[in-house]
Amino acid sequence: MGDSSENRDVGGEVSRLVEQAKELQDCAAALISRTSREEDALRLRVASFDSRISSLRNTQHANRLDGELIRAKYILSEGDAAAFLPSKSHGRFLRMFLGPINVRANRKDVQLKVKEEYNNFRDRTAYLFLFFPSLLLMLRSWVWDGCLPALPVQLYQAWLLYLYTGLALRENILRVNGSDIRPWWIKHHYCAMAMALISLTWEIETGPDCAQKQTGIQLFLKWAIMQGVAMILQNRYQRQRLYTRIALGKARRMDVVWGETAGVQGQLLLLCPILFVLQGFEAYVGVLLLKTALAGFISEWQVITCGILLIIMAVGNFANTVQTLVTKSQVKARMRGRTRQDVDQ
Amino acid sequence: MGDSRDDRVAGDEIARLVEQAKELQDAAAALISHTSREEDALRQRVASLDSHIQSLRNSKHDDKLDVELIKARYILSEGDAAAFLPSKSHGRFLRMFLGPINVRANRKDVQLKVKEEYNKFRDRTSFLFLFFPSLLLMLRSWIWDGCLPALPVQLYQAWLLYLYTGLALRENILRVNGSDIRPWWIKHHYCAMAMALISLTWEIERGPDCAQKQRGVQLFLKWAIMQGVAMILQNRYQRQRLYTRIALGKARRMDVVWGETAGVEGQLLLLCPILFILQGFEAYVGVLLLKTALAGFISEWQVITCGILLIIMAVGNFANTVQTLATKSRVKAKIKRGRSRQELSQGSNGNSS
Repeated sequence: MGDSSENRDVGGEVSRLVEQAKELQDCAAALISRTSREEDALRLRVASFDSRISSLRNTQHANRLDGELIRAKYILSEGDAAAFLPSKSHGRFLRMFLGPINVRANRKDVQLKVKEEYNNFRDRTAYLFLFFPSLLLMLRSWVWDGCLPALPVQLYQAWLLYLYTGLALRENILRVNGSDIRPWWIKHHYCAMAMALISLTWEIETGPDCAQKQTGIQLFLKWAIMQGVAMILQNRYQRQRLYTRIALGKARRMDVVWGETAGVQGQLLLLCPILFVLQGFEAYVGVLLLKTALAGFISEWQVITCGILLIIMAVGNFANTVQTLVTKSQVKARMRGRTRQDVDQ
Repeated sequence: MGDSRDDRVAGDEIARLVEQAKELQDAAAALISHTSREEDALRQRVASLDSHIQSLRNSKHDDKLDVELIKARYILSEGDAAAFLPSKSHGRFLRMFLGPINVRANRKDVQLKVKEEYNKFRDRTSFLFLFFPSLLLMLRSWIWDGCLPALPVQLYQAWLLYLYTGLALRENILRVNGSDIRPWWIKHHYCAMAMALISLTWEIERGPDCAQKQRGVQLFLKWAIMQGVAMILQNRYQRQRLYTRIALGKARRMDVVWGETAGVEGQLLLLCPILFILQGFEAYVGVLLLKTALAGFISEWQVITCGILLIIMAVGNFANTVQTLATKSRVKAKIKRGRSRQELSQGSNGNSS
């Protein structure tokens, strides 16, 4: 008797739970459809506003009014409305690895957090990037009698492949989340992924004249050290810019963000000569690899391909750094012109 | 004069635009906070119902009630409320590659679309998976005089590495989106990624006795062919289950989904013996690789590591396939028992009244 009434109680509770589940299902469906409607309405407004600004900008050229238009655009793209701007297509790389999942954060503060984590990731890995090949080259002189064993180098190459894949994925995600990363930097990481992959298939010769045969690998490690230095410098510069953006975002001064970050800053002028030097060395290493291949000591396809990739990367990096400098100078000049106009008035 | 008037008109319009931008900013902020509040409230209700169901399931009860509880949980997890269930942590693998981005879709139909695309991806690649190594081995007999050149094999190994990385990423994303993939299958893909990576560093010897020296690579290609066959069979089975789920989801019969898909189906009973045979061959290839290494012909670390990885994968696949079969049989038996007891009790009620 007691048992069956207990069972009936539990049975009653269970059927109540089933009813509640159906209720929650209906609630969820209603909430989702209402939210979609409201978000779509807001998206329409933001998209039409955005296209209005773009069409007006085509009529105004580099004057005070254009500056105001850019200010309006920044208010949109630095604040909460950024989540409702028309989104860029995810692109083939993300779809190849992740499928159709949407990686666009729906809130601006999450988008900034993603960028912050990206910078932290680059910070962590930049020091490793520098440390591992330096360690390998030092051990080569001190402990290994001038010959690098295969396994440590291959472990480092595998780590490089993981690193560049992670960077490429994260940068594509940033781009979808509204960052205006220049497409070249992402392509640069694709080239670096290819280099790491190709270098994995590189036979690391051991034996009596390995100093000669391992020239290619040593050049590769030296290139890695230079990349690490460049990465550390770029990180410091980007971190500065991002903190300014976050601070101004919190103070809701989105229009100022544009002024503070879009112009050429002293730090950039200091950074660029060093970058140019590193890019020059990158091209030099590429040329050396090609010479080594053509001289006939090591005539594997990996050496030639890596040499060509290095030269492509060096040239592309140089061209894009120059373009970035030019664009920022133009913006800064326009801002100065605007201030002068204000003074005149 | 005309110019300055035009300028003033344009200036006014632009000032209006700046005001509108601030308005849109405020509207967006308000919408985001309003939506967050409503979604959080719903999340709390769903979470408390979910834990209520869990606690009841853990207490003493009979099978019929357990079946009803599972039904309630499925109504939650197959419908729109699924997006509000407490989410699993993304896990280290996703965070290693993607950072903290949230990959959980916020609507159930998107989650099902992600699973559908995953199945299509597996379909596309499983035929390539089978085709490439078969082509390489055939060309080896016909054109290359028994010796595989290095570059085609390395290209295939690089493609394998991309494929397994893509599969591992997609499966982690599916897991975050509510799929109850067994963790072993994802770890299996990590092992396969390691195998593809290690095989890239494998020196593919040329020279007169390359038939002997390339034995490891040939075994690797044969393993790849078997994996391709297993993948094709599994895809067909999964596709069947997913279509059933989508059709029932559209008809809002979430409770039936559970009954239809959770039990052992005839197709699964047909699939398992084939899977067991393939897993046996996988272990055999691993053992052969180890023997080749120990026999001294090729004593590189890659051969030993790949052999060990293959044996681990074969044993793990076998154990998990058996566990999946056992779980599904238990669930099916529970459904049968619940249903028959219901019929019995209804029959006796009918008799007594």
